[in-house]
Amino acid sequence: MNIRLVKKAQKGDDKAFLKLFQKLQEDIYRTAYVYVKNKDDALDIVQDVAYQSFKKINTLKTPEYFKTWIIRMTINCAINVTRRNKKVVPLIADFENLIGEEEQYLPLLSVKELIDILQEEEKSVILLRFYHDHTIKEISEILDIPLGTAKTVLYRAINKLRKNVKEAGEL
Amino acid sequence: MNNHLKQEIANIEIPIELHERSKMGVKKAKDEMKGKIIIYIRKRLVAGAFAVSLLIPSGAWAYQTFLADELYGSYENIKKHISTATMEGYLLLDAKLSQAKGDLEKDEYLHFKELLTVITTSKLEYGNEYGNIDYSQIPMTELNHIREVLHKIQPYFDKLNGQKLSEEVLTKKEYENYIDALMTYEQIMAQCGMKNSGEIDKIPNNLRDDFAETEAFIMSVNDKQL
Repeated sequence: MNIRLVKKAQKGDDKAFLKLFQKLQEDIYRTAYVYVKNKDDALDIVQDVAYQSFKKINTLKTPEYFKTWIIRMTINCAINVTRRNKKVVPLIADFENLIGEEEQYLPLLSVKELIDILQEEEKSVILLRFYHDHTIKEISEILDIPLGTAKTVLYRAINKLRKNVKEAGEL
Repeated sequence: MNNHLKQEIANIEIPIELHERSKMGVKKAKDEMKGKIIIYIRKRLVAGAFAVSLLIPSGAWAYQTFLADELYGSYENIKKHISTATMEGYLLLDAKLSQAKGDLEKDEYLHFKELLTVITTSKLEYGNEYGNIDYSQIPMTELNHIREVLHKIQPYFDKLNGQKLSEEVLTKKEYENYIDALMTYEQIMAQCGMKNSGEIDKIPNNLRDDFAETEAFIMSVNDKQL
């Protein structure tokens, strides 16, 4: 991440900001897509994140965290859009198949599975862990949830995906 | 395995309009942020309002509220010369200038800017507190130079206003009259200390007819341009 560009952007330089943003826009789009499942909403989110992040870039205290900051904003924005679209409060997932602190093995899965099977919170954790390469601790900070919860959600998500792969295999 | 997820996600197709949408978001933020800066500047300026007349948006004189640093040099300079400015006027003109960047070819834009600098410089030099110039009070050589620049710049204003070029809808003679009318209009406003064209009650009787006539002529040109 180009710290110099971030600092320029913080002074209001929109060209510098756009340069930074451009490098992330595909990641932002794809991250958003996993939540909203359609092109139009995902594009709206990209535009909204561009708008919000440039407006609030002054509040970013550590320029090094620019990308993380943007991705967090993307996730929040995507979750808001899904909720608005759904108008239904999602059910709390079952915890029955919680697995322990075993190796974080992510089964082979398609984006469609990821989109269909996981709940918002689970998507966030999976994406941050396996797509954006954050550690569990970082994830808990980004999503502002306790470390334990982040772990629980991650394992729950992995387990769900695994179970799905297993079921598919049995067919 | 992790790479597998990455690969899968990478398969999500990127629409061609993606970059455009990023730009739109940034632009919206930028526009709103500008508004904030203006509010701040305005607080520091002497209170009051300089309303850009929407009646005749095509005249060069309307550009006097254009506050960009590059033309006026600094806000200090503006404060000295034009004591009042409204956000409305600023944004209106700023929009025009941003439009200028997109609508005009690069060399056209540079030419436009160069001409505009002459106009703004003369506003600073000769304009009254509202930025209007009483052309009857300035040296002849200067007057001729400004008139010449107005001739050249008007087509750009027309273009930016999305109107037909006044130069083209009018005969050569009419076009000259039109530029003169724009100047007369400004001159009367300067002589009467008018902030905007709506303050007709400030105009003494002997100038009222001239003002109304000039205004009618400018309006008729505008009609032709539609």
